Amino acid sequence: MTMSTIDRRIILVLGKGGVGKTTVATALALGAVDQGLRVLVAETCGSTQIPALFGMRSQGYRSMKLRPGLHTMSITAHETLADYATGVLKIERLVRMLFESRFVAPLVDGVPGLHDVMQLGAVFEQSRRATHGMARWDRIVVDGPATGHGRTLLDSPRSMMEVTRSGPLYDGARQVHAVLSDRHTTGLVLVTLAEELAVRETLELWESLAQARAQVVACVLNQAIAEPPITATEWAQARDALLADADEPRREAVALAQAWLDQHARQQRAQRRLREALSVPIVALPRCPTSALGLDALEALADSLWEAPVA
Amino acid sequence: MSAVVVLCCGAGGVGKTTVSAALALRWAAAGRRVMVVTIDPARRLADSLGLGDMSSTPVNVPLPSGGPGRLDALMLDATRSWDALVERLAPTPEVARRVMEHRYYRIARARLGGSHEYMAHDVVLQLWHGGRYDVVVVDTPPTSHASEFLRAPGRLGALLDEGLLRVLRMPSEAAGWPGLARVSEGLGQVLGLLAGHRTIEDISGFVGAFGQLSSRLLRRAQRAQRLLRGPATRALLVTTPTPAACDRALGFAEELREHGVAVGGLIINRTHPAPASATPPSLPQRGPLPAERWAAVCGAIEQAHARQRHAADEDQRVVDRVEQTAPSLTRFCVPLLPVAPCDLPSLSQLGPHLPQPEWLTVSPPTPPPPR
Repeated sequence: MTMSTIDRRIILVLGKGGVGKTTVATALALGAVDQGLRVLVAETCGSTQIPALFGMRSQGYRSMKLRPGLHTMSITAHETLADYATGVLKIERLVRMLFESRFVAPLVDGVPGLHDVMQLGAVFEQSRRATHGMARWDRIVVDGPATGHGRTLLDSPRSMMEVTRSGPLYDGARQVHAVLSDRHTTGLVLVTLAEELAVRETLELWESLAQARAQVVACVLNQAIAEPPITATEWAQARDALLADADEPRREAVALAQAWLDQHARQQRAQRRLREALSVPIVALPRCPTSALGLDALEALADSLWEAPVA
Repeated sequence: MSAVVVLCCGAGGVGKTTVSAALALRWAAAGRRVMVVTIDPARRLADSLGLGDMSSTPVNVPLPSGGPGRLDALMLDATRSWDALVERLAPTPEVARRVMEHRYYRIARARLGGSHEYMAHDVVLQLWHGGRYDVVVVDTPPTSHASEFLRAPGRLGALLDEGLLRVLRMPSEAAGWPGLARVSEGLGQVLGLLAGHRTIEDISGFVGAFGQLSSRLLRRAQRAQRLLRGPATRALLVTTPTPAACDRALGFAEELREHGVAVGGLIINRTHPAPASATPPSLPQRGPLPAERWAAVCGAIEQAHARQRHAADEDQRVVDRVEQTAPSLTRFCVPLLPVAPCDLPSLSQLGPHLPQPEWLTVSPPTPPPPR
């Protein structure tokens, strides 16, 4: 089995800030495009990082084409809500007045969970979009919010149902909940790094997911470092000989190699911990050799992510 | 004398929490009385300061160096802080009880948009006035926009403002909006259509109960805003050394200035130190392993050296680029440690690379207040 066998229509990419959710989401989307699917990769919380990876300027909430078969958009709660309001009220001018008024904006920002549920609502809306009776998108990959509150996000439709108890918001939230909690439609991908803290947070996220654990299709261990060409035993045997009468440059280089071996050992431990705790495939994604992530690097990542065995 | 407030801002995952803790430790070691406040729900600061379980009351962190300085740490627990705030601001215990027993309050407490930020502002305001600290370091929550932290309390205040309540109940009196009020049957009707009448009634009830607290709450939020936009406050942007992350941080700096917050520098975290020797090391021809394995060992060392050099060069290019785009912004390059710092000794290794205590005495120019 490889990542390419994932067949959920919606994939939510979750993880703490800085672990590379955007990169993984984009790589997953590129891989799906290569399979001939029409793909939307959506950013959340008004984030607009993805178009820049393709050398383009974001058009915000409006979906834009990145390349044949691949579109992106930046979801914001406000614009989704305005969309929703236009749908209900059918009068765009009234909606504009509502949203520009100094009374409604704080209400939108202040109602608990409204932001989260609205963003999921936008994903749900996109999943329903169709042209000539055919679904507009074969796959929607969602780059989760940077705040890392994956659990709050997933719970938000239910919280909204709890808050409203009836009415149009309740009905909307119920529909969104039905689609996003359906394991055959919506899959979750957790992203983490091979670091103590990141792994601990991923384990916490896994715990907090409760029933939604069944929806997790994979955990991506991002920025994995290469395996050293030597074993720890060999290194232990070689070290003393290397350091005997060593000059400063050699000492420094030996320390760097030592750091590589140590880091790889920690990575192995992290991977083992994840494997033991999570009942899903762990996919290691190699660290990109350059800090400026270009399209070539992204495509290489897409290939390695897509073909990675996830057994 | 009142304290200097230092806001650590940046995108998620750049090491804000670690940098905040390291800054606080550095300044405390230099004799300052420092409080570091975090709002991170993952309890990272607690971990890095070697505190197993940080509560929502300040905890003293014993300084390894001793000396006259003091380091306290505080982690905000939104749930508990809200209860405390309601109790403090409510005119009578009866009002406090009514608010806290409301269904909405219980649902909203932990999730209410802006509540973390509001609590942070409130705590900073308290600490700043208290006179017990020279410096208050605030580890801001990760957001996609820097201004989020500044705006959230105001928004929350506006939500709870009695003005909103008036609109929900008597839309025709809504000041500044007579046109719509006359045209429609009232904003309450429109909102009811959108969200369900029952929901709006519920919200009205909640806002009504909260209304008795809200004017004091709003006043405090405004005072906190003035503090953050005043000369006592400066922001430090934290970023990692990639072009995209630095661009984002520079955007954050711009946004903060537009909101009237002075920016005191950019911390480029986790930069790779260049190896002292640029050329590959000379290695023994033979060693205690078979020739082929010895070659592999030497290969690994050369590779590790070359990789470090390459990474350091890349980081340097990013730093140079920042210097070109934002020459007036003070930069601090903090090296990547082999193991992420998780205790006081490793945090103090970052100290020499961070803004030194003198940095606190020089106020960066305060931008004009936002319109």
